[in-house]
Amino acid sequence: MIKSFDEIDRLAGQGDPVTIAILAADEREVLLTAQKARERRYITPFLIGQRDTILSLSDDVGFDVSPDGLIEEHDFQRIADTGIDMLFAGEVDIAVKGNIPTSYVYRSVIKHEKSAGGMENISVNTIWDIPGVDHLTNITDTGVNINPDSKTKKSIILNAARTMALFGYQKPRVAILSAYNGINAMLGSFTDARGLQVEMAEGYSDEIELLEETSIAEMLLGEGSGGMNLNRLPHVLLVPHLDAGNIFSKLDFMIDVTRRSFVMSSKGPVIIPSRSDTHEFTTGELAMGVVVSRLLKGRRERA
Amino acid sequence: MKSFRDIIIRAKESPAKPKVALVPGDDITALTPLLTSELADTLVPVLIGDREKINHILDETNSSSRCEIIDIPDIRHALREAVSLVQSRSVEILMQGKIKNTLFRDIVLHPRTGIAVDSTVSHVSILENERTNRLIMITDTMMNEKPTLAQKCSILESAIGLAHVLGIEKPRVAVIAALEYINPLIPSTTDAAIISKMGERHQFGDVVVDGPLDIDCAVSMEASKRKKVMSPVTESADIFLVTDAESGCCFAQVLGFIGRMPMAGILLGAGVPVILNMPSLSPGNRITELAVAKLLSER
Repeated sequence: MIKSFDEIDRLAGQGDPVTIAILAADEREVLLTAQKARERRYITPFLIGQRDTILSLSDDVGFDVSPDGLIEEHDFQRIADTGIDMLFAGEVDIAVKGNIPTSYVYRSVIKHEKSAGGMENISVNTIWDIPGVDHLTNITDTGVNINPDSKTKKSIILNAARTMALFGYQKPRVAILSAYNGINAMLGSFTDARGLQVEMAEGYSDEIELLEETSIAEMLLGEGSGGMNLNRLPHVLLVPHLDAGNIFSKLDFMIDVTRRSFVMSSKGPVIIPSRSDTHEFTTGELAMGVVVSRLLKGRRERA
Repeated sequence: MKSFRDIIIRAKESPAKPKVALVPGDDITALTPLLTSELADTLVPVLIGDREKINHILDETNSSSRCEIIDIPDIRHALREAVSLVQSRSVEILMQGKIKNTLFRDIVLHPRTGIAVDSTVSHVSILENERTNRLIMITDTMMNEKPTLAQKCSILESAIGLAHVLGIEKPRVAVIAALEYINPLIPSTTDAAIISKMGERHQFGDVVVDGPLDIDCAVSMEASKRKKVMSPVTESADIFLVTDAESGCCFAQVLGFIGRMPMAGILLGAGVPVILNMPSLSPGNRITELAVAKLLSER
């Protein structure tokens, strides 16, 4: 079981580099990420975007662009489609968003999943490494589904649980968050939680352990005394909607935790760095993608 | 005030002696800070419930002389009495003891007969950010699932009132949305922009309001620069006005329970400050809630 990002970084540096499509590489911070990840032998990059800008910025940052590794595209949607085409055709192992609005990337992944008969819904896994906690925590969906209904929440839970299974969490503990506590009027998130707890008790009990608690305080307190224990934090936390997920996932800016996010497509991870992330930070996200990609390949080979 | 300690000291120094109604009056966890904390001498507990049970606790702590007791053993009747005391302005603070939340809500917060008729009730979570040595307020963290623009304005006004009580003369407000730019198809971003403009026109008084901001632009100057967003409240917001209760609840719980920031909360917009019964709260933070309520009651 992988318990920390230190382990992820160590694993990413072992083995051969994986191939990666960088969607819109025409930005300095993006190229710095690619350079750093290549130095660490994580990746062999394919840069997609505006050729002249990429070459000029590459000179600036000292990044050696291989002629075979540069694909010229200008339109945002064509850039996203080209990279995701490569991922779905098995030409690259990972795709990462560069200097391009996220919506183009999501649209392309959804389109490819649909035509490949792959995943019903895609969702963003934000993994937190919390100091002193004996496991990783997956907060989901922090990027794609604005107001998921109960059916979508179920698929988000399964996406996250299967992602955690790759890290060795064979039956992850999952909680569905809700602000309902009885003082406020009934909230849709709580109705969904109770419905899913019943629905998923049958058929998914081998895959997940779905907790009854819907508030973080209840989860950490657990039964009996002993106070708050962060090790009781579930392996997967389903947020009620995108607004809540966006806040939750980025609270690493306020508290001592580390974050790495990606979409798990049926063909491999798609890394979605925020525009506010530094290249050092995004290099860590690439390390996560590299490890996920290798674990996914291993699982496919075993199957 | 920059810490929970500052709030308690200010409340202790203040000469007022507000009445605090507690239902049920025999809840030992809620009673303890009322009777034995450093604020005990500055409050008058009004204990509503079973006199016999209440006296049993008071005798043990030698506190009988400082308390008023209203003998109503039936919990529903006790709650109705509390509502009546608030409505007649006979108490200045209401405190929920160990009682089912839904029962408390159905009677005390009843939309026609409760203490908050025709007003927007909201819950503010107050956190002590030791990294930045300042208090932050998040609202609404409980009550409003899908607040309208008008309700968001009321929620903000309540929080601004609280900020003033906590000694923040010119509160800085970050109106949080999922995006830092305005998307006409996403109401949280347009609401945030309108509230921001209202703030600019001084419709909330002497405050600095900015939004929409996503959380990273609100709390990190570095992130904000990388996103090319210049906001006067980045890294300095006293109040975070969030889109809805779900977002607020996540925000506050993560900071309080995973980030281990000291956290207190108070229900506003109900005529008097209301302290809810939160089993997860530490004894120290319960005293902070009493201190906040006391300062609010003096407005």
